[in-house]
Amino acid sequence: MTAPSAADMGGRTDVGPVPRAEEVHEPWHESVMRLLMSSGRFGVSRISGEARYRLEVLDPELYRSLGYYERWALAVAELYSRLPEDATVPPGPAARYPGARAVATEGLSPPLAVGTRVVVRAEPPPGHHRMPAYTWGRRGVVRAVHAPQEVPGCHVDAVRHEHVYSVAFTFEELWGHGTDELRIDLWASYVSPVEEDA
Amino acid sequence: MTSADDDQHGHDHGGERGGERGGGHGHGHATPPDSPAAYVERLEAELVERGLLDVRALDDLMATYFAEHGWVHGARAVARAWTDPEFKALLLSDAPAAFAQLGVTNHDAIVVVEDTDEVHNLVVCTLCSCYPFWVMGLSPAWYRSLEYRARAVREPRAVLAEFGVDVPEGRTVRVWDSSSDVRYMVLPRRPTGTEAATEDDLAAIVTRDALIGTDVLEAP
Repeated sequence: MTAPSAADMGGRTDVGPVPRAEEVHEPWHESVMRLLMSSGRFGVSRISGEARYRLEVLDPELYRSLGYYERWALAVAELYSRLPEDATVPPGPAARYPGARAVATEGLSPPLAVGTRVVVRAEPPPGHHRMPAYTWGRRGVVRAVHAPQEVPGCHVDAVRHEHVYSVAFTFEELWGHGTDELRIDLWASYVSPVEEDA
Repeated sequence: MTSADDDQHGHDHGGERGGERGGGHGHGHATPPDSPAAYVERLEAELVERGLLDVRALDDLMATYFAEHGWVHGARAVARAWTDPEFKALLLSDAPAAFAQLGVTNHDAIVVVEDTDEVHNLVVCTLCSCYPFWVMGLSPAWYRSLEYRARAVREPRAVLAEFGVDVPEGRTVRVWDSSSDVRYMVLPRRPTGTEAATEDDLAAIVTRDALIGTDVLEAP
């Protein structure tokens, strides 16, 4: 049984009230963001979304002990540690965060229709993914089809794209009670159509 | 699982966080430097010295990101949507095109969701802290907190109550977990008593939290 990643917070019950203190801005926060947003230029990621993946595989206690900028500083530190000694300035814009921009639609199967009932796979794919544990095995309905996006965790030298669906889940389905609703974006390979109500 | 070489030690950041490295947590990944501030500033300075990073080239982006009232573009879009039905229709069907009409462009996908008498929208990112900074500025610290990320999807009404927002029974709370490259912004309900207000007046009453879903706007 796959465990949720250290970063997978959705639905956890072992937390208290939302802290409301405003943050004190410090100059190094900007350094973190500049380094993060430039990291896509230097080819230091092996997989799509790797900055996030570095945080997901942390020890959960360590993850929870770090602040926002401390977490990203850690991801940045690890990615840039791969920068070769003879690195040169890459072409292109100064800010190039690793992630989907260009979209390849050729070769993709047609997307599921809006209104299709789907079930989320019971286990996430290995490595980096964007499939929170609270959705695993749950049934929902496709409410919108987004433009195709890079598949999280695919190798940067073999980038794959898939359709992404906005899927609606009832709180009854997710939590066993409640009348509210959740929408989440899920990649095509995360869900399967449901033929009949079981 | 890929395993990084953890070679940040080459930068000699002076010691490890006590007890973490080799502490048996089974991953063997890098632990954070004792001072992340000193570490990233040193790394950035090194990249600048090597000619690999041009800090000035990122000034515009940083100015957008860290602006004091960074949600001005979001607030402007809301105010225009309240006063211009055509713009509202565009904002809800093709938000990037609507923002482009306001002179705000970015390549990131964004969807705007409308609060009504039937639905109250609430935005979260449970897996990290995704947020449309280019129209809403820097995310508030609470938005990135583990507590908000954990609870917004399971007990949104309790979270909203902490923010002083009481969603009546019969009105659905619709939570948006920002799991993909698509970002979400809320179009809040226009407060009563603002019928005579100008677009500028209206933009001034739109709060950052209302664009996330944790505030209900009132006439000034």
